[in-house]
Amino acid sequence: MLGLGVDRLQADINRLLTSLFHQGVLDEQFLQLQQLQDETSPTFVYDVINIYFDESEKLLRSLRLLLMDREFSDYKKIGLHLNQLVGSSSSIGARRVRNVCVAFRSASELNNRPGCLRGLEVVEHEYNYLKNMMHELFQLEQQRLLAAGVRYPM
Amino acid sequence: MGMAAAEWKFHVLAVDDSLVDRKLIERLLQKSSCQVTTVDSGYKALEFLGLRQGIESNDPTALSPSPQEVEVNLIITDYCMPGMTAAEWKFHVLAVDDSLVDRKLIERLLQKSSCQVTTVDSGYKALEFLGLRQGIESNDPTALSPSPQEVEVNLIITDYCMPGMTGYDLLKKLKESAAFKSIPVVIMSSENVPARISRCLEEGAEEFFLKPVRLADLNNLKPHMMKTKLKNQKLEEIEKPSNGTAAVEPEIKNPTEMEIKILPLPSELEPKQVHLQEVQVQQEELALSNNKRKTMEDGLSTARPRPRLEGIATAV
Repeated sequence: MLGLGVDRLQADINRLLTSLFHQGVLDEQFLQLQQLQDETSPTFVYDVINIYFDESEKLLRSLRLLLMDREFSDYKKIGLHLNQLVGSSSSIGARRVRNVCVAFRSASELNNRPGCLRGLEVVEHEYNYLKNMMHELFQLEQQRLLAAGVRYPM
Repeated sequence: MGMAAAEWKFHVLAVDDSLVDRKLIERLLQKSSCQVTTVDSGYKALEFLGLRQGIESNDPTALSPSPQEVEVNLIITDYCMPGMTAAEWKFHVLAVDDSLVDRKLIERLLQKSSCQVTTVDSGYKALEFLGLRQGIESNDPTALSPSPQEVEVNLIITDYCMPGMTGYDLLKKLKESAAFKSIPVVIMSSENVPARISRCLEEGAEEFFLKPVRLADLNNLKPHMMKTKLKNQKLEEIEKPSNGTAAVEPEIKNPTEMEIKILPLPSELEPKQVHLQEVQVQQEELALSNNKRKTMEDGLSTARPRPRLEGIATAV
C-alpha cells in the first residue's frame, strides 16, 4: 500500500486546477509555466508566482495611494502601473486579473476617476482570489510531496 | 511491465574527431549497455540532433534522421576538435526586460532551450554588458562589466516597452555599432501593434515575439544564433592556425580532455550513472586558440548544461 494519500491529493490538485481553468482565472500560459518546471528547476512555478505576488502588491498599493489622493491627476502613472500588471499577469497565465486590469486601464485613459476607483476594487478582488487559490494549490502540492515521501513497510 | 527492454538502454551520442578515440568510447559505452552513435565533429552532432538549419554541410555522408525518431540520453564529447569545440555548442543569449517576472520566464525558457542566459533589466545594462560603454552614464554600482573579448553573445532578446531606453532604442544602438550589429536581435512585446512590429523589423530585428513567449518561439531562433557562431568560428580560423587534436591518446581512466554533460534521469535509473562522472574542463591543459572559449564554470548561467531533447525532461 503505497501513497494512497498521494493519489487523493493529486486528484484534489487536478480538481482545483480544472476549476480555475473553467472559471477563466487561469489560462494555458499557466500550463506553460508548469512545463518549464522540472528536476533542474523544481520550484520554478512557485518562485515565479511569488515574484508576481511581490510585484503586484507593490503596484496595487501604489495605485491605491494615487487614487486616494484627493488632488490626484496622474492618470499616465496609473497607466504605466497597469501596463506592468497586465504584462506580468499575462506572463503567468492570470487571465482574469489581466482582463480586469485592461478594463481599469481603459478608465484611466478616459481620465475617469470614479471608473478608476471601481476598476481598482475589481482588480484587488480578483487578485486576492487568485492569491488565495494559488496558496491552496501550493499547500496541496506541498502535502503531496510529503505524502509521496512516505513508504509503508511491506 | 510498462517499459519495454529496449527503452531501458540509454542512447549516447559520442563526438570525437579521432577514430581511435571513437572506437574506444564506443566500446566503453557498449560495455556499459548503452546504444552508441559516433560522429566526428560538433557539426555532425548538431545535424544528428536535428539542428540542421543554417549549418553549411558539404559532406555527402551527413546524417539526417528525423528528430522525432532519435532520443539521445547523453552526449559525450571531446573538447579539442578542429572547427567547433565542445564549449561553443552552447548559445549565449542576453535577455533584456524591466519586469522581474518576465526575466525569470525568459531565463527559464532559454535554459530549457539549452542556452546560457544573462538577464539584465535595462537597455543601458545590456550595452554595458556588451562593452559599449562610451557615452553611457552608469551610476549603478552593480553594473556588469566584462571585457568584450571574453563575452560572446549569440542573440539579444529584448522587451519593447522599457522605461528610459526602449527595446527599439537598444536595437538602433546595436545596429549602429560596428562591433555588435551582426548579433541577431529579437524584440518581445505584450502588445500587437503592427506599426511597431514593422518598425522593428525594418531597423534590423530578426523576429518579433508577442508575449507571453513560448518554447516553440525560441526554437525558431537557433538558425539565427548558429549564423553568428559559424561566423565567429571562421574569423577565429583566419586569426590563428586551427588547433590540432591531442597527439596523445587520452587515458580513459583520466578523461580530462572529455567534457561530459549529464542529463538528469529519473531517479530509478540512477545506478547507470555511476559509470559517468562530471568532469571539470581543465582549461590550461587545452590548446587555447582563442579567448572566447567558455568554461563550465561560467558564472553567467545557473542552469546545468542540457541539450534540447524531446521526451527527456517530461515528467511521468
